Amino acid sequence: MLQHGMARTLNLFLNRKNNAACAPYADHGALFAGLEREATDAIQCLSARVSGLIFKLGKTYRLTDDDIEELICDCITICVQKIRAGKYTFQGFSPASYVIEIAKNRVRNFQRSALRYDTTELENIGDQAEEPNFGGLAETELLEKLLSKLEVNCQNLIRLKYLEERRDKDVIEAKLTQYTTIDALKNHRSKCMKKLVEIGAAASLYNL
Amino acid sequence: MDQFYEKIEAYLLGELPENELKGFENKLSTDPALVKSVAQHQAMMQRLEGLRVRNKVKSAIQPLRATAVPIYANRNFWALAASLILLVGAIWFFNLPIEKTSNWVNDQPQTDTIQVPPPVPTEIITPKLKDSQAIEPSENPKQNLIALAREFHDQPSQSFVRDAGNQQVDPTPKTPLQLAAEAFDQKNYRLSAEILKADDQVHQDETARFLRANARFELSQFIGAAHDFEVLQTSFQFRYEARWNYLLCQIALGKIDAAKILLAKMLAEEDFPFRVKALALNERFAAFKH
Repeated sequence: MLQHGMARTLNLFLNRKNNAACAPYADHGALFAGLEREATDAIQCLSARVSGLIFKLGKTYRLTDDDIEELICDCITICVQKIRAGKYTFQGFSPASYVIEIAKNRVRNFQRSALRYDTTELENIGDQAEEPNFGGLAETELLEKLLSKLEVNCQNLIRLKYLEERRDKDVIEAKLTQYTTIDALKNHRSKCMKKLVEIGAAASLYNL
Repeated sequence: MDQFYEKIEAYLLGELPENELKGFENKLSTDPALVKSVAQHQAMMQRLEGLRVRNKVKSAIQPLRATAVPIYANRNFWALAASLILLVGAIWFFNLPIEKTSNWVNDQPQTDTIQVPPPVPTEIITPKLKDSQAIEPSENPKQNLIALAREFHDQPSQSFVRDAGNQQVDPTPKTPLQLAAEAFDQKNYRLSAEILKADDQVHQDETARFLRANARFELSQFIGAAHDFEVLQTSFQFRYEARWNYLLCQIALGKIDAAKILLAKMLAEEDFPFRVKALALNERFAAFKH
């Protein structure tokens, strides 16, 4: 009891930076709106609110600290992706609760796969376990690997568009590529995407 | 053919002009390979979106990661806590006995020899009389006799014990006598008697035997104490103390008749050093119905 109290006190002091990130997000709706905008402080606030519980959860399942950190990142990524895709809409509940539920499902699935159990029907785990998670560590590492197989110009074009979300007009104006017109930029990027898709197909990336 | 494949991205991004869109959709309805390629493009875009969001989340929480982790989930926290507990425990452990033995420690010469840690004084539970003048026959007369013996016990003086423990000044290992004397001074009679347990340690050393005898007396080991005091009655240095304490051992052992004889002899000696005590004991003894 005493240890827990001390830990909470220390945690409070050490997490004051995170708590400051939560200042604009006093209510659940504000936090949800912040996540919808993908605001950095909203993501930090969500992380501060879920980290403790996910750490405890991860320790229960004997995950390493590094695995738990990746789990936190995965769960927040899924939450943000679902908000963006319109699959998670605000219904008055805390986004932190939603992320905790995602984490629970993921560690259960992790355990099932580790034990080679096929028990997906045993619990009501929602739709998270069924859907592919393209924001997971393994998936993103694989994609980075495939991207690195493209020529540098193609990598640059795809990163600017899909990873940095730069508008084509801004890319041309800032002369971030060798192309001087939007049509030329789009045309070449289209070819680069086609190559990337083919590389992905060669790597059996798609289950189509 | 290839012109359609190069327009997949624009189609999926909704950037395909109206005039090209219709032709593309017509082609889609008739070309399964194009449909498959569109699906693959879509999957790749989802993956890129996943990578983008993950990078964003990671970059947002990475600077806080070192502090965002709950402190109790950190191995270093427990290592630090354990170190602190050990440190506090060590300070307590080493300070407590030193405080109690500080005078003794200061009196000792500084040596590199092995030292017996200052012992915790052994509590000897002895039957105490509520009132020394009110010895009454009780249901347990043996306890009363022991209490009477203890009341008149002539303990070695503190200076004697400390001298015994301080005989050597050179930095050689301490003798059993010194260690026993130190233990006796700390009222750790059990340790003192244990150190001098072997008879060969006291065979040639009257001081050691006297110390052992008194330690045994304090431990209520009256038979052993009586033996040592009996031997010491031939000692020049300890003969009177030995006789007196031997008498008390007899009382404690319930040998009343023997004790009376010894006491009578002592009272007959005008110059017996413990005569005053002997008279007092005689009075108490007379009033004591055993």
